[in-house]
Amino acid sequence: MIVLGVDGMDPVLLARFMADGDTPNLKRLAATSGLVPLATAVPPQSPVAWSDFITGMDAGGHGIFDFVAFDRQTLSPYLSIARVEPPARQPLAVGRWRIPLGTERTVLLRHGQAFWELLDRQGIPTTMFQVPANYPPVPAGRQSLAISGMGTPDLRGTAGTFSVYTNDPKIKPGSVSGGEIRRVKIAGGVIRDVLEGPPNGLVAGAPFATTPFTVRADPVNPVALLEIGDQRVLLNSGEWSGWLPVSFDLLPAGMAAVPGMVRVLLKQASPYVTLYVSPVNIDPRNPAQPIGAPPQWAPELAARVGPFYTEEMPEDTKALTAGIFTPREFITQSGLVLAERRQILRAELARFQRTPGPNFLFFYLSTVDQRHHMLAREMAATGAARDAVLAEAMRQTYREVDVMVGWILAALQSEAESQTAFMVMSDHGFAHWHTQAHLNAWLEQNGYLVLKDPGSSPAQRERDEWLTGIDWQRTRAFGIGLNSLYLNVQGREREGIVPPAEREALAREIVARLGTWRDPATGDLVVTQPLVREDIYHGPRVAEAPDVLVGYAPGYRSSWGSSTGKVSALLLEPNTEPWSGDHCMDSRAVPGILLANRPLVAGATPTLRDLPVTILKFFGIESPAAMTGNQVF
Amino acid sequence: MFGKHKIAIDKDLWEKIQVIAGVAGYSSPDEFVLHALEKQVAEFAAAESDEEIRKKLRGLGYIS
Repeated sequence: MIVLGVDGMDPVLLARFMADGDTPNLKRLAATSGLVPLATAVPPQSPVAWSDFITGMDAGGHGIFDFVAFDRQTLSPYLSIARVEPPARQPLAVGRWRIPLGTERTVLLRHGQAFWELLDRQGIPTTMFQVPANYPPVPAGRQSLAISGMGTPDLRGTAGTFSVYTNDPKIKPGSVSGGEIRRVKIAGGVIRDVLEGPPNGLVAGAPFATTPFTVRADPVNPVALLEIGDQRVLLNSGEWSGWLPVSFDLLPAGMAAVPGMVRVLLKQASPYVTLYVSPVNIDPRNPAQPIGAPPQWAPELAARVGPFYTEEMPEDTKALTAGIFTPREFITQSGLVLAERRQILRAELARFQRTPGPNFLFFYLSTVDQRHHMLAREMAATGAARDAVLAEAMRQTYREVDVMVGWILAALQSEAESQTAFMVMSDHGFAHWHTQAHLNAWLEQNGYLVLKDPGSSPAQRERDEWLTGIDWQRTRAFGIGLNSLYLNVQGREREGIVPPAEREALAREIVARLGTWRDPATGDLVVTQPLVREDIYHGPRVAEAPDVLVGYAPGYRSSWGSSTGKVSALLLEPNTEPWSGDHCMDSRAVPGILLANRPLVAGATPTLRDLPVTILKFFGIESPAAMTGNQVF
Repeated sequence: MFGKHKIAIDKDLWEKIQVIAGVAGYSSPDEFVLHALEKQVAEFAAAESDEEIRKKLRGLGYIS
């Protein structure tokens, strides 16, 4: 069996492109199975949805409720998929050095059994290429392979931090969301600077380890020579480098060095020099962190196909948002990701065909999702605002995926008997996000949330991030993350005030009132799917869930500020960021897609949780009781 | 092993430390002071780690 997981593939767009003749291979599948909307998770966020797919349980079972999780004791947010735990013992201090007496451990926070563990146990070899919410990758059995995907950090330990070096006075230096912009001096046409890598835990204060590089700009032609490590690369203005290995010394004389790799874009060579450097990726040829299971699989795959992006969601949306990339440069960069994935899929298909007997391959693509996030506004533009290349970029992306589907269909046709089942599925669809909903402002204006200084200015409210402005002694409810609303419960939150006996009644009261929130400009409801956790989740982790899940109406989403715990003075505000498509909304409005090379059960209305059950049944394996889905074929 | 540092503590504070150390079961006021300082340092270390976590969150496109 082969499953192609296309993050964010949308049923409405796909139906349109199919009808226009852009996706003939997907249309061939639809002729057999129909093009079926696949009910997504609540909330419809990728880590939640993919965890539903992986475990066959809802979030009450697997425990991933939002991209952003929340520690009720420290009142701090953290990434929901994985957490780095410090060494059990404090490091030994010797001068400026800190000698670790143990190692940090990255822990996958998703609970429940992955369906491929059950396949492996029954002797079915599995290959999981970058299934999300699997970092560090679940140790595969004897016959199985995995490369981690969403949740995999860059070498700095972040979800991706790019660097820009420039002497262009129009580009403002400093930290931006997901990146660092450095003003450099150019002397005699030469720039000398350093690239920052992983935090050096061996030095007091854990500063970033660095590696030096030099850029020599040609005085006549728009080219520059980059020297980094033992690499020398001549780049034209606008040209991308291939992957460049880099190394960061943690101790003097190379006694402890951490390998990584970067790709570089020479944005301009004259009159100013601007160099974009990708986040420092874990090099699959020599992984500094566990990205493969078994560990040797990442180097083996890289030996066959070359190095490839290993950080999660590597399409650099942050560089576009920061104005470092133009939309066309973003399309080019995300195209580099897709080109690598094409090469890997070809290699894995060949291996799949060579493997005798039953065999399972899952292959993940992120580019449809990331481009849709960044190009939704361009897709909706009309008249003079319409840029044909950008408006049609999604159509082109779907065409490229369709070509890959064609390769898989061709591979299956060449088998003696086409016994292999093939599914194309996505975790959610998409909607245009035009209006930011300031959930914390709504809670404040409805008396559930109180600031330490209720009269604080909009500027102060902007500064008070991560819930720091909140008066916990008088606050009953607050929002953080993309769809999560928490109550401030006695004995649970550090400074809780809501008696536990009143918790559920308060949640239901808020749900009822959220459902009446309207946009005064249009009269439309802002929240169409407010849900109390007990009404939707099942399993042992329901008590860990946010008290209320906020499903925004299509077009609305938790504001940039509310998602990081700010309390705006405004209730609603236009979303003017390039990130203009989203899906963290009413789950019914953003279903994914399902297509297969065999008919589905008549009248089936499949959900993500049906798929692991279907996969196991296909191989004759009974699914465990915790998997509550149904077979779809 | 790594040397000792002397710090001046106000007489009133030192008297309070002696009382609390005794009541709380520390073997000496020195042990209590050391424990209190270690605890405070650990809190600062935790705050630094929170900042790291926030940086990680910002890398997500969904959060600005």
